[in-house]
Amino acid sequence: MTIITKFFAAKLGTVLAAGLIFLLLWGVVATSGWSGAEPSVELPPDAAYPLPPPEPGQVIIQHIIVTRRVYQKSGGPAEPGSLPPAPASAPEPAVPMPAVTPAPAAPPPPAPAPTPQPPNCPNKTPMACSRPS
Amino acid sequence: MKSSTLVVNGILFAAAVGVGGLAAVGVSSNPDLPGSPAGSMASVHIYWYLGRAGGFVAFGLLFASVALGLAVSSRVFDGLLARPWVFEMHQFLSLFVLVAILFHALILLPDPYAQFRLQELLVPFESHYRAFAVGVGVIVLYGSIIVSASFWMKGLIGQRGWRALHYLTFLLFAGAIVHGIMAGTDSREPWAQWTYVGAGLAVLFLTFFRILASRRIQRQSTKLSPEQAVRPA
Repeated sequence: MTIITKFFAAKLGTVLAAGLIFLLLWGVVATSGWSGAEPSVELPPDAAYPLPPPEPGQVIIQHIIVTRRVYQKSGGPAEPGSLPPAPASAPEPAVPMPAVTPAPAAPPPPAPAPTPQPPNCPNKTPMACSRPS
Repeated sequence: MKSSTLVVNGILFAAAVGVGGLAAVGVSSNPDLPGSPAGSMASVHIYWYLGRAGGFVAFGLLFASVALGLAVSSRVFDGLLARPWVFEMHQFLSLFVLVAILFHALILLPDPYAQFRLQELLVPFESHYRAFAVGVGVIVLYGSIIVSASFWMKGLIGQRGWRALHYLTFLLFAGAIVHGIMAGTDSREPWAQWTYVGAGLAVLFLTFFRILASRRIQRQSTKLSPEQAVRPA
């Protein structure tokens, strides 16, 4: 029994001190996160819900880009980084305009027709055919 | 002391610490943790946190036990602390550290993320998580049991055997540092690094002090012996 009763106060103090340090360390490691590398993140209760829709500010930026493309197509200056002045007749839209779909690209020109060869000169270039045989 | 009394005392002490630990877990844990999506991450990882905190407490107790053991033999605390007190606390801490190590290991069993099996925590190098580091920790546990038991087996193994077993403590302490650094997820934290460095340097200092003190004692005894020889009886 002496293992506990001898110097009992010192031993009790040791146990209590160890318990307090344990509680302190518990708080420290819980703060530093479960892996010890990053702080623990408390997930909100509605984290499973989908994200909210993007704000309308992004739509306005898209509108400016589209306007510039249209202006450049009409022959305006194409300096990089400078926005073209808005036309005087065009009023400032109160609501963002819908995105203008670009015009479809022109179809590629048809391939040039092969040069007709003389009937008496099969499988030869026109130059070779022009030579006297 | 009778061995039966010792066993009863050990069980009572372990039970008291265990009840205290479980009460602490019960107070702060949420009963519907594992399946609850609304449960906070801190609560889900509660057993992991308890295991880590218990590991540092066990390391601190092991350090205190080793330091007091070195203080007993080197007499570094003479004048500050009574030597019987230092020896008694050294002996008590060597038992208390076993309780702390067992708590540190067994509290990880119910952790839903680590998913340790009892076999992995009791058989060296069987763990699926950092097998070498956890294996070193298991060896430290068994070594600590052997060294602590040697207090009550001194009559059986003799002074020389008891001393040889006590030298094992240096290896165990080094093993505990290796286990903490390699298995612990707090090893990158400055406070954890300073804990290991501070404890290691303190034990190193006390070890050198112990070696120098024993040499001084030997030198004094060799100087005194010729005088004692000529001194009249």
